[in-house]
Amino acid sequence: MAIPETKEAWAAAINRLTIGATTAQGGTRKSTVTVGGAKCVPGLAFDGDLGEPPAVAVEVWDVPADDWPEELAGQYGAALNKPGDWAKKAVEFGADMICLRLMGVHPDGGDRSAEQAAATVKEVLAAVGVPLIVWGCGVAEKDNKVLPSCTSAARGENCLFGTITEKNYRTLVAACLADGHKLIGESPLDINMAKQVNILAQDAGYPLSDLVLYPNSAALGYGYEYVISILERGHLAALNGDQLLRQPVLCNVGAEAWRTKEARAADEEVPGLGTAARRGPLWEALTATGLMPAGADILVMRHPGAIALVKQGIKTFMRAG
Amino acid sequence: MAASDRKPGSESAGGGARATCTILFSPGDATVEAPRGTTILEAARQAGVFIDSLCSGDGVCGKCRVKVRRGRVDGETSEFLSHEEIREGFVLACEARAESDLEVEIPASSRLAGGVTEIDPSAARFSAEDHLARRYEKLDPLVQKHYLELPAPTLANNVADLERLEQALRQVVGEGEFQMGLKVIRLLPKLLREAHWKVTATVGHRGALTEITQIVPGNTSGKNLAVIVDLGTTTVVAHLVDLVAGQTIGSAAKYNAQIPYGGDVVRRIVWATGEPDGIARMQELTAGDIDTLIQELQDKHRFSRGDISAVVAAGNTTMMHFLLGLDPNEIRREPYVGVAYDPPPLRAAELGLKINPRGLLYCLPSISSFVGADVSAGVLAVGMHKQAGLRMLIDVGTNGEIAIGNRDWMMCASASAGPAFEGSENSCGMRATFGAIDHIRLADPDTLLSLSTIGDKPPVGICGTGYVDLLAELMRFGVMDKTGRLNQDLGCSRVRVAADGLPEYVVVWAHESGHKREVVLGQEDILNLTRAKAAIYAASRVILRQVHLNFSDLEEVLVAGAFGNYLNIENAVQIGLLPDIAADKIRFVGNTCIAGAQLAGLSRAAFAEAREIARGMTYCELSTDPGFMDEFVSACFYPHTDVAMFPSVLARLAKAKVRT
Repeated sequence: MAIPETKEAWAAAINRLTIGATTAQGGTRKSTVTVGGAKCVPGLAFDGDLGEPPAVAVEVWDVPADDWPEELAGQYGAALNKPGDWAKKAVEFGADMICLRLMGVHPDGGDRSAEQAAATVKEVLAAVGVPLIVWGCGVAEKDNKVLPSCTSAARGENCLFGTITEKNYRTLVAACLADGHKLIGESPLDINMAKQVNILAQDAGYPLSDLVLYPNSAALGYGYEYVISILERGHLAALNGDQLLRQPVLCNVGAEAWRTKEARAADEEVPGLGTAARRGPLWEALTATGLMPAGADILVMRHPGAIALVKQGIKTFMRAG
Repeated sequence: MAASDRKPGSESAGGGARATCTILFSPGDATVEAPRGTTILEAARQAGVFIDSLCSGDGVCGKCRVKVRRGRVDGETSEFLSHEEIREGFVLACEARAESDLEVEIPASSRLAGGVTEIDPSAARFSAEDHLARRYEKLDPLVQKHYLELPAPTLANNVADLERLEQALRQVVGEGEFQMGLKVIRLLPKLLREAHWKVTATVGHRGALTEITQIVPGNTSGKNLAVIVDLGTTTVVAHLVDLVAGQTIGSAAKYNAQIPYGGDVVRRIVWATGEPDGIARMQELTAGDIDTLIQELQDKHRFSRGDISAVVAAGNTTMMHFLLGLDPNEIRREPYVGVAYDPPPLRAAELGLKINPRGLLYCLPSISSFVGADVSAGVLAVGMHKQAGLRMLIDVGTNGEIAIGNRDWMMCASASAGPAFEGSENSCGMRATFGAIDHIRLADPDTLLSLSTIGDKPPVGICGTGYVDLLAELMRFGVMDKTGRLNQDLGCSRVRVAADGLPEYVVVWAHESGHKREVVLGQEDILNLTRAKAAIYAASRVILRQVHLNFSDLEEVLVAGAFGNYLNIENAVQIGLLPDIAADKIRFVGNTCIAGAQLAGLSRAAFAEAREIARGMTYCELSTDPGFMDEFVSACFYPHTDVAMFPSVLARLAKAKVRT
């Protein structure tokens, strides 16, 4: 008797999306990053094409990260004072992409101007050859003033800009359409709201194929299971053909992991949990690793130790199938 | 405002720091003595004066604005009042405390809710008369008057007075058990003989039991009236019905006087059970509303209250509890159990209803704690319990209720939709009464193509069907995006920033309106409407899923509700209130609650059917369904997040986009 065919046949695949543009493509990047393309549940290669491996983007801020614990800040040292140097460090640590977070434009965090932000974007682009993610401060009015200058400063570079939300999307959609960038749609851990943001972007003329989903994340131990199940639901719906959920998914790993007590606390505060030098990076690496089998495509990270572990993990994970 | 002096010159008349203040309310000149520091709203309640208030005094709805003409008040300033209004002496009644004697003027906008208005009886699209003719063999009211000519007793026929009466009655009403009050029996010998054995007996039916409520001399059987009442959370409607002819004589409606105690049933239950005599107060308010409506009908149609032999009432379970003065507390607490769902006919006078002193109150049966007699009445009115095909009845009310089924089975659910479609939660919302915009079309974002109001009066507000049209039109022209946000970047002259900092759409400019103020649709109003439509759509999806069915399995979707006289079905589908199925499968049936109650009043068989409907209905609790919240969020979008469920809407919107 023949062995019955048990392969799962999915109706659709995750969109394949490329960030960055080389000189030949009208930009100045030395490399580009392509994510997505999976035609099966992550890791189950016997069902179908696993698509592209998850990419690691490393965080760089436009202002020094003064609230980072010593274990993390120490890795970057004086480079934290200069976004260009910071980005170079990040590439040394293995970054496939830089995730430039414009923390300094926040009205309460420096209130830097649109010109200053655009200059930082140019500085980072000049410093490294990897593609760029540019992320606003989250205050809608301010982002709407600042981000259009940044999209035009990075024109031709095919960056990934974020984020648009259900409440604020028109300005950034228009800017990214004009300057040829990809977009991150943010939603509060809710499948329906993720779809709603995509519909709004689409209504504003933005192609669904150029969007990345950011459904929000959480660190290991802080509502992590909920994030995992939201990612899985989205991934399964996409494979079943839901156009509005077929976008690659970005997870903000470093920011979440380094907010936890377990990562931040000094050794004497948490006796028995090991040294800060191991605790923090492991917390970040484990947070990232668990998100991969749930369908994460872009992992935004911070600590070189964690980055090295995760990059190793990605190789193993993609081979495992 | 800090203890501000309204009219310095008249200060002496107001008096200083006295322990009690006299507060005079106009119009109506009601006066009340209240301790200093009492809020105007509380004083108004004590005076029996109606001031609209949705939040029952939490200072968050801004509905209860009144004008202090004389005297001093103390209280917080409110964001709900403009500088102009504050200068003119406007305060929020729930926040302003009496510091001296006061003269308070209640403006029409805050008073509106208390007033009585005649409504178009055809708003009850299902005329009970039609149905009676079609579905029931004969006019057979719950309360009937029979003229009897009894044979005078003789030595050969010496049965007792009561049995003599019963023998004669049996010949007209058939076999069965009779019941009669001792007071009436004691009157019999004198009454029968003085009337020369020619009397009219009033009988009330319930199942096999017949109560002889009253015997009067002579023939009065030509005059037999009933008042049919729809007790809504937001609106109370009464129809006056001639039980002899089987016809509606007139109708009237008003906002529920309980509204100041909370906009929804749960708030009211909390209030009623938390205050001493709260339940009794709610009972009085309900009886008061019915009395006000009867008075209105009496002024118009000239009849004697003695001729009203029955009140037939239907409403949600909480309203039925308040009508009967029953403790509603367990309704809102797990496991959600009411006191009585199918109470027997009661003496109306016991409940303070001023009709014939021997008259009866019939309540249609409720189904569960949150699906009330309005649904039994609705199902009865549309007759879906008699048909083979599957139908869904959606009642777009404050307590949105949904029933699905056919002659074999029936299920129901309740979704708290809020009063947005009944107009009472929105800045310019109003009931479907004179001056309410009930239909609107735009030529472009800046220009109205057509607008109609109920009674062709100048517009003063928007009722439910008007909101449905407005949302659909704003969506069509991109003035509102799919989340319901108004787009300020269009350069549309009607979109502006309101006092709350959020955008609003001006529907009617002040100079075109009936009250010289603008009629607007605010961002908050849209949010209320979005939640209401989402709750209703999500509830219908969940109930269908529980029985593994789809909208496409339904033969018809019937939309009930007292939120307008005409519903544009296409627009209701476009905003995602109703499913995107063939337009001829959706029918607006108006106020089915009152139609069903009326049908029950006119036909004993119909009343019996309503009780069967209630007994056979399975209640589906949505709050414990894990899928409900998901469906709800998904439906909080225009038309819906799952756009594939609204193919015709997408096609229409695409066409509109090409045109603009």
